[in-house]
Amino acid sequence: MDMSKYKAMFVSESREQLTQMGAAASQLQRTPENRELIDQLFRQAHSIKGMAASMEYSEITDLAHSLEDLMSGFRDGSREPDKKVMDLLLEGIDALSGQVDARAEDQPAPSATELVAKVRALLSGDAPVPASAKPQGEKPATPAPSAAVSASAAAAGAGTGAGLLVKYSMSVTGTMAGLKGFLAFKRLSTLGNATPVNTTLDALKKGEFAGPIEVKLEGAVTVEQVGKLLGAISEVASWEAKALARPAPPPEAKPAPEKGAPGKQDTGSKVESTVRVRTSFLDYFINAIGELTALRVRLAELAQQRQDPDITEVSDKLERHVRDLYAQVMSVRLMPLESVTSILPRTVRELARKNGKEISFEMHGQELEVDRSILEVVLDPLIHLLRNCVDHGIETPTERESAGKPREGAINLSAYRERERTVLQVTDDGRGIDPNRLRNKAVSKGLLTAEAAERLSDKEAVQLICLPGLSTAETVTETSGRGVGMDAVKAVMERIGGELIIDSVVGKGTIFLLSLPRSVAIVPVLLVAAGTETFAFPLGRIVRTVTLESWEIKSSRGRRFFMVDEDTIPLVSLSAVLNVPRNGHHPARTPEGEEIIHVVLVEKDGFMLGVEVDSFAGHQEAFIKPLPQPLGRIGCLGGAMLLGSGKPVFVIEVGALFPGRIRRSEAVGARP
Amino acid sequence: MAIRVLIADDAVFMRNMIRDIFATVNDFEVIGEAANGAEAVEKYRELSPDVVTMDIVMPMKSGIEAVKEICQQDSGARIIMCSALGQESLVMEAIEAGASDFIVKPFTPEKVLEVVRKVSAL
Repeated sequence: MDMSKYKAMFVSESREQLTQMGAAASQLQRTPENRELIDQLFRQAHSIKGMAASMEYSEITDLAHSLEDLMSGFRDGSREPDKKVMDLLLEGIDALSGQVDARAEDQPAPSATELVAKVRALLSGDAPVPASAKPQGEKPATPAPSAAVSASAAAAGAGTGAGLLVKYSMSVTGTMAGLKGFLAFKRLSTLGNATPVNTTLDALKKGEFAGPIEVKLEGAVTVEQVGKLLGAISEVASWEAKALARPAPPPEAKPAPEKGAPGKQDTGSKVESTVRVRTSFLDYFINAIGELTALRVRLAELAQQRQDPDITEVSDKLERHVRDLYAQVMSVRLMPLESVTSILPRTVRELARKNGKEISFEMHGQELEVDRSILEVVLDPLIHLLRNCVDHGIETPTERESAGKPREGAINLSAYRERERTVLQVTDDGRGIDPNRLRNKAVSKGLLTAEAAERLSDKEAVQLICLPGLSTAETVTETSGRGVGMDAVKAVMERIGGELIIDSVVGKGTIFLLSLPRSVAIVPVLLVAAGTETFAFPLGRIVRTVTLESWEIKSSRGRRFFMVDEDTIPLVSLSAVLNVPRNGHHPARTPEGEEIIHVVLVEKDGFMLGVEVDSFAGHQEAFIKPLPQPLGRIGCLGGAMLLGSGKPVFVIEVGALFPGRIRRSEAVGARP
Repeated sequence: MAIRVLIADDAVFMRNMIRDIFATVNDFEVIGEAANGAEAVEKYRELSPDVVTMDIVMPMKSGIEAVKEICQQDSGARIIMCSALGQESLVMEAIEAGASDFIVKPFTPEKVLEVVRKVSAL
């Protein structure tokens, strides 16, 4: 059977199971008495085993099987898994993930013989021993010595009404023979009152008896009936039936099937009917809606040009439908945060162990649903932040004790909504970030002048940690401290229109906030004209727009500033930054002859910047496509979109308009 | 007339595989799928299939409990358990509960078709 077409499904379903197993395992650490979790872990290991066996991925089958065994000993609730078991379980889940990843890439999966042996060793030193793998023999059975057949009238014809003595042997050995032997017995017992003759019912149920089995079958049974039932079991090698000598009680009705015991446990959760969809479909939908949006805008423009009420009506209706469709597709794209963050407890645990720290890690609000485009990029930054907390934030247990803190440090990850945005908050109760140390580092690395460093407030100085090449770590650790962490986080946040905010108190701890947009795909934009071109600003990055008269602009040391609400804000010109020719621009003037200047006010990390444009040109919802290389390397351009007219327009990457941090801090210092 | 099959397995992967096996021949028709034991019982009642392939280990309600419940409603129910290595005791329990036969993963299409055909002919 060609299994290759099942591979993608195997990979995605196994990954899903493994993610849930990871979450269940970390929950189980906190509540080892939770039998539902144990059942779930058992079930999921089992499920992966079954799938992997079908794919003939023996290394995954073996490891999943050993995890299933590992869990099965705890299912009766008589014992709770201890740390050793939990460690093996977690290690196993990790190793399985690695194997599935390897198979996904068509690489030979690493075998986990050592781990499987460890589980086996742990279980064998343990009582009771759960069932372990036994080869299912399909080989012909060696003929077992025939048991004495009780003497009877040898009439092999139709049933006499008294019953039959049935003897059958199996073509398989071992457990399979025991099981099929019992199955045959069960089938016979549907015909009449069946009693094993040369063995006991108990032994049959345990699958212990694999030789030829003799069964006394009382009732109005015919040899044909027996033949039909036994013949339908391929593993029954041969059988014979003889009439019983002794009269039997009148025929009984089929034995009623065993009364079903009431469900042992009913988790009571609702059954959801779901369909699995490839993620590329969802991306396609978003793309298609992007195109629809562009057409809709074009139609609205046409309606306005032609002053045609009919087109206007169609355009309005279309707008409503596209909006609804957009909302629906967006909600389909939503996934709970925990689908990516559930691995984090294990990550933190591992990091803590490597660093000799004692840490309790808690997550809250992980059921919050976020667009998958965001989920795809948020994990790495989170891991960076958590590494930072473990490596640099949380002190060693001894340090903590002498500082009067509990030995165990606390790290929290919580998620909540703030208007349209999702905020992820990572907090630790560690040593905090020392602003003075950052000031000194920045100065000694030549990133900042001593004066500029002095002018920074403590909060501003803490943000210096995001400068490339600046790390306060005294020693370089395996996981962080090479100074590549925080600037990478910052870069990702800027790319997706998110924000990183850091707040820290020396000796008390640090708070990292990741503020995430709803989606990276469709965003409302403000269109502006600069020189001969049109550009778009994502509305989410704009504080407001202002219209100034030329007298309000001040100059100092070759830079321009203006005042808004007591704040002095630097001003740059978009056409100058992008080097767009400004010919043809005739600025509007006040009756007094003052030039009117349109400014888009943007903000980044608490710093404001005014961007001068020639005019505002309306706003619209835009499907922003990333720029292909080499355009993607132009810092100020964050993507491209289509106007309703079909004209492409560049979207401004607001963060990149800000001059370097050092110059910005000078600008802050230029406050009167 | 085609033999009407209900497939109960919590793994989409397994359900698809089994369904594909039945799709290769024309004496079977898969009339429904269930993702857990509770759904299997419900679908059995609703669809009255000729035969059920039932995974043993499933959430909500295990395959064994589902077998018990289905056989309680219909003593002639034909249910084939899909088991895996190392599950002998569970298979035993299922047989006792009324399962008609069982197949062991990984199974070949031939084996599945053979067992299901034989059981449906009972």
